[in-house]
Amino acid sequence: MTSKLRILLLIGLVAVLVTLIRKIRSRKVELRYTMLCMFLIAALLVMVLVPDLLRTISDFLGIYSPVNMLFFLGFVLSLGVIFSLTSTISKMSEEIKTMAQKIALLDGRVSGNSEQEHRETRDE
Amino acid sequence: MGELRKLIILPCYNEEESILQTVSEIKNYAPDFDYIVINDASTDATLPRVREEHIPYVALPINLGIGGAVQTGYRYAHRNEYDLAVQVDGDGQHDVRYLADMVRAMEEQHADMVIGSRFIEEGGFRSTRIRRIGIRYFTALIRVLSGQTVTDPTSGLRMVNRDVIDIFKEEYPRDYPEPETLMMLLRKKKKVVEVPVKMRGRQGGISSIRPMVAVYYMVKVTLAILMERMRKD
Repeated sequence: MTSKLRILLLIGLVAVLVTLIRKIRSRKVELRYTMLCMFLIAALLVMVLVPDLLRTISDFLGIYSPVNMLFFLGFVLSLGVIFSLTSTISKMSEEIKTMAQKIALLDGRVSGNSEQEHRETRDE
Repeated sequence: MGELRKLIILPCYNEEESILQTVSEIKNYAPDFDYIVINDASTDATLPRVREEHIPYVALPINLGIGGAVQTGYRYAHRNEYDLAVQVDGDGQHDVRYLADMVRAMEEQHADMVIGSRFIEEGGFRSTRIRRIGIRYFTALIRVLSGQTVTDPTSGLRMVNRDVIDIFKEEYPRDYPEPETLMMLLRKKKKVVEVPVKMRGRQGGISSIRPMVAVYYMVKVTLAILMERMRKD
């Protein structure tokens, strides 16, 4: 990995990290949904700052170029981030569905719109 | 039979052309049933028409898709303590004259679910050839996974008892729910029987399964059935 690339990556990662922290501070995103993202950035930062570590790991895994290892790592961790978002969306979509149903049923009862007319057969 | 409380669930998404017709058929041919329209945030005049005619309805604030709408009906059935609930499409495909047969089958055979099947007897609107092939494929898939043969696993005309109402009110997929929930009931060892019905072509509105999404439909439902088979509880 050339030092030019290292510096570029460093600047990029720090910029992303700063943006993320600012968003959390202004409460535009919730911390718990960004934990994985921050971890991903931190891991990449360590790799960029300590090239020897990167080389050791890529040698161990049999990857020719340390920079490939870096991209691979970023890709794998990104998949983790995407998956955690998918599971959050699934949970939220289920919650929204249940809420919409309960609101509709409650509204029907309060307004009387969902009340059945009494039939002769069922009148008490 | 008179003491059973029976509910017809009418899920509606933009059915302004057919919903009143469907309701008047219920009044004529299935007068011992209560009914509830579930308006799935229609963008046409479905809701004002239903309101004008004083038809009992529940209006969803956002569009939940057919599964979410039908599930609302099961929640309504549960809360109002109905003994059985039957789903009838608001678009006029289903003939409510068969409901009496379905109730009889449910009582005589102690079934948990009764499906109105187009493929036991000849006649009626039986969908397009390509769709029939798809339906036969789901029949085969469910037979392999459950050992039971259901000739019309995609039929929306389905009657269920209290036990199943309790299950459906908690668990019901949002889109293309029929084959998947059938697999769920078979896995839970519920008794499913079929009665022959004839269906009509749609009287208005558009099918939720357009040709463009047919491939997605096949893949999604296949995966859903497989996943359902793998669940435990």
